[in-house]
Amino acid sequence: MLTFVVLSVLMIVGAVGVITLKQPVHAALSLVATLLTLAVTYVTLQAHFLAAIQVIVYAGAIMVLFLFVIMLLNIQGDQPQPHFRWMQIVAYLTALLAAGAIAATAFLSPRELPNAELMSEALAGGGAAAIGEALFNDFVLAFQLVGVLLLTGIIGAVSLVQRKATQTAKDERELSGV
Amino acid sequence: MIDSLLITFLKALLLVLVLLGAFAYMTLIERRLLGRMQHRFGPNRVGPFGLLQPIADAIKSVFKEDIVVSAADKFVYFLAPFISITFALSAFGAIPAGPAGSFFGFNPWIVDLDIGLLYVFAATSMGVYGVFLAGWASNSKYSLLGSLRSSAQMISYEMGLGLSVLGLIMITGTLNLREIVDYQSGAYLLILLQPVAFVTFLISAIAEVNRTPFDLPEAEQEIVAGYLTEYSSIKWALFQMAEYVNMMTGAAFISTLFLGGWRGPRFLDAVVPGISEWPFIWLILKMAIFMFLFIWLRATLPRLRYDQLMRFGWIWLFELAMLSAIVTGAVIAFVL
Amino acid sequence: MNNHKTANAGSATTPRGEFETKHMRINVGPQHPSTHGVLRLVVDLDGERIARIVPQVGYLHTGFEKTMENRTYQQCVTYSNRMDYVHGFGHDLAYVLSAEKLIDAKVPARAQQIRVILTELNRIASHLVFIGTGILDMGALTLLFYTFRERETILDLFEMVSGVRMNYGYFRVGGLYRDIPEEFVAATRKFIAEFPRMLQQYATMFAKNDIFLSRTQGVGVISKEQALEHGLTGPSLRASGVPLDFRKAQPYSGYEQYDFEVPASKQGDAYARFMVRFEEMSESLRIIEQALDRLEPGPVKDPDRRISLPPRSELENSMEAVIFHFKLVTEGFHPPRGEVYVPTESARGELGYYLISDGGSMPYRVKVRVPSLINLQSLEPACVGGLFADMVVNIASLDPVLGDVDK
Repeated sequence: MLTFVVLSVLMIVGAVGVITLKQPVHAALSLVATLLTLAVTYVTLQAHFLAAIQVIVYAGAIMVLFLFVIMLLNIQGDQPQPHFRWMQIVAYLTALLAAGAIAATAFLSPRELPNAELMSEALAGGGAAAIGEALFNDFVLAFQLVGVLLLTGIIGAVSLVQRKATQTAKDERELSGV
Repeated sequence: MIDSLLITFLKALLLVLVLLGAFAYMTLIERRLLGRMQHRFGPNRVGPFGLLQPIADAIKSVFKEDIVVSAADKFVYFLAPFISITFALSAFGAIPAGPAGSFFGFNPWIVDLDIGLLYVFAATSMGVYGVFLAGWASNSKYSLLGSLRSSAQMISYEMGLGLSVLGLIMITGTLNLREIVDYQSGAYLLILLQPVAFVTFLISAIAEVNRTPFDLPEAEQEIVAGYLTEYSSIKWALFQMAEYVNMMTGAAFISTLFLGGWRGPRFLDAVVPGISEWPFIWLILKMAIFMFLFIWLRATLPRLRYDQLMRFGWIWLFELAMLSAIVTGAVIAFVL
Repeated sequence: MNNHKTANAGSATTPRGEFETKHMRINVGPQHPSTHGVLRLVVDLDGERIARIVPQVGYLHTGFEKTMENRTYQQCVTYSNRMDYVHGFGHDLAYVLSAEKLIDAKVPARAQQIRVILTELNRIASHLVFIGTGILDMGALTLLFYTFRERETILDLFEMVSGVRMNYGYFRVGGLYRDIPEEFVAATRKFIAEFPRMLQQYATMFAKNDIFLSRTQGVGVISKEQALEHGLTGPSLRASGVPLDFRKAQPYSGYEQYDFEVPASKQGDAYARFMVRFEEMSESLRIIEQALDRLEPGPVKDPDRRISLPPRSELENSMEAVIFHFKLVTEGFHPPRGEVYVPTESARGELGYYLISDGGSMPYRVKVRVPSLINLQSLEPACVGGLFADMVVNIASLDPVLGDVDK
């Protein structure tokens, strides 16, 4: 329980850091710290597989790409001023509402923990087998659909870049007088 | 048998000390070997055969002035080397070095994780942050270029690593490194079952630890010392440490996955009974082979250009690794 | 080559779709490990491609030319070899040839053959440095140590004849400082016998290495026209398909008597520049061998007392010799008024000393046509449109020596 509290506090501090730190790289690092703490939380729940995947995919790959973009675009720390004052108020209100909703769900919902024995049985071996079976048997359609969705995203991104390249080629053709 | 928390902690501490000691002497071995290959002596002045050279180097790097670039992002600048060394050191923990209970009655590994293989991947994939942040925090163009290159390279070749072990996981049906070693003693060495994957894994591993011919991050002829350019003193030494520890982890990892890990060849049991079960020596021996290979390559090959390296990775290496995984899967599904 | 041209056009014209890309300006050098000295390059990068490259020279400017104008003709030999410290004998030879033409000295055959032997040996030594450091720039460490081992043998030979390993000052206007020691010929023959095997070894280490090939082939292409426009000379020009070699085109020091080929290539890429120099080493060996065969005992100085010092023995019993000695040492000789230029083929390209004499004992004006400086102009066609990583290969393949660039 104590570990959980410490980890949660760390995680919340990290998450707050993401939105409050002025320097984008620091914010991204804060997010990495949050993700790593989350991974440790998984470990305390015996979900080793999930923890490893969390680190490899989110912290190790996705966040690095985030940082790549930040570094390549060389985003500076200055914050753009909001266009309308009321936007800020609405944003604060929404944030408060969301926080309240989360707190309400956490504290008001029936707190029946799943059977500990069943859980440890399901997570035996760090959960790799359990997750694998769930993914490839029960949720195979959803899994495939997500795969297709991601593929669509990749193709979309590639085609966006592609359009720019043909544009350049056209420019060059025009300039070279062909 | 599961060790208590205290024992695990002590073992981890011991492993860190051993790795750091090994790092110090690897630098000496590398320089001496390079010297041999390059028709010169290498360091041989400090102590017999230069054996005290690493100590001299350590003292030197600790007492050198620690220069901090004034334009640097101080916090990240300090953080980066520690990220590098922390994750480099932690990766080794999952690799078993002998049979259970063979280390003074304790297990010769730190943690016996069911997802040991993924753990090593996770730890090494975090190592990229050290490189990346070092380059960014230095606030220097050479550092930035160097760190961009090396992180792109490390991320790309991590794919190669991951794809190469797919077939292996399918064959052994486990992610536990100890069980993978056991599988190989029961059946064949996985290098025989997965020769293509072995080659792609080895090449990816060399790229992952930034060694020649993939040592672009330190392409001193182009980008000075890459992400290391603005680092000095002990922080610089920490990066070097991380690099060598990564090399050792890589060597141990390949040995474990493809060459039977801590087990020695069976036929030697006929000469000395039980020799193939002796802890540590076989793993160290196998690691030494790969470490020698890394040094040998460094003495022989020029460096690939950045785009060539990326093209090689994405067009040849990954395709080959993927093909190997697909063929393995097909054989397991339809033939066996 | 076509690739380079299109890329070139792309980077020169900025419109790139909707995005405006900003060039990153990088300052390479003067303290940079791969600029082969204190060369400074201001490079504009468009991503990893080079949009513009401007060499800034002068960090090693020593004012040799001006210094030489304040030294007697014979003393100038001390300065000439210090410019290109890698191919010192080439500079010495170029200087003495010009001075000899000015004063119309008759150089004995033996002196000329020894000059050819030494210059060609030095050419080999220079190309060895080129290949070793060039490969080092691509990240291969070992070959450098091998080539320096052979260079060491050559430097030993130089030490034998001149007493020093660098800054020889061994040639004199009208001949040589002294005759070669007896063991020199045998030692040189031994080197010639062993060296082809070493060349073979080097070839296995780089010429067939896939990574080396992919780093150099098609990289830094300088077309024949570009090379001529930019005044490129020497092995780099020959690699671009112009077989100009002053040893053949305007023979000096008796080069016309030797049978040798001029290696050339049409590719004009970095690989061609490497290989042309590599092959030149074997040709230099042939020249040295022939020169050694022709070597016969004889004087090594112009017997003309107005140019060469009288032998030591004469000073004891000839007043006239003492006077000549005194005049030559204190004042030097006075060439007639006029100006000369003799182009020679140094390891790096066309090298010549343009001397103006006003009749005094010191040159009125010295201007050196140094190959490195002028070859450096070709960095632009070689680099622009190419990758930043190729820049170091291009610098290496043009083989500049910064002493030779900045004078």
